Amino acid sequence: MKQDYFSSNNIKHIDYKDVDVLKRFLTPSARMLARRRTDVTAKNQRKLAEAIKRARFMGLLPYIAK
Amino acid sequence: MAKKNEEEVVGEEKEARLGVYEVGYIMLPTIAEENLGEEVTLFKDMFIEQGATFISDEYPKLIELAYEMTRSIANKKQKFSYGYFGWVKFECNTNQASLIKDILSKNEKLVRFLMIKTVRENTMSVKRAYGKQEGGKRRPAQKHEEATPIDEEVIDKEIEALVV
Repeated sequence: MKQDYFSSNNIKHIDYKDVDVLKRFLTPSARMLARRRTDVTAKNQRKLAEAIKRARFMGLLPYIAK
Repeated sequence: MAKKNEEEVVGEEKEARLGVYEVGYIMLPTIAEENLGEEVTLFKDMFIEQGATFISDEYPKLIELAYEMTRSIANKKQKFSYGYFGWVKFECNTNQASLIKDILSKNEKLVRFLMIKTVRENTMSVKRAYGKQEGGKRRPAQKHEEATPIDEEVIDKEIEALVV
């Protein structure tokens, strides 16, 4: 049974400053995980992608990690 | 004519439309810790000067950036791998927001900033012990041993047998 992390933790707004949460959805090389791996809803996956991109822009997360 | 009036009404509505915005910013790491407070108050005053209503903020903290950023200050490119990261949440109308954005882009005390539309409520999720939930060792379920009534006579006999 698939479970959306954000719905189950009652997170309505995915904040780009919440780096600890965002890191859960990144690979070791800092790439975003696909929806089939994250198991979040399509709506939340879009919000998640935007939050990750914002965090990258602000230097809170890397674009690539070696 | 009626169309024009409608357009005017729509335009006025647009002008009056209030929104909650958040500005995340990275201040120059070259600012001394002693002067940081002064810089932050100057920075916040700018929002109030523009007519924005202050909601909440976080005082900037020195962080290591995930990658090196370049910013041209006084026509000279400079690289930064550290910066004071903070954020401000405020309410203002769309015109004020675009003015604030222009002012921020000219601010040479900032390495980078990000202005987004957000909600009044706190969007940061409560910190949870994520690692412990998945990676941590689970406690084995405690076995409930049924307490059997101790028969003293049997024990006495066993002790006697052992002694003999």
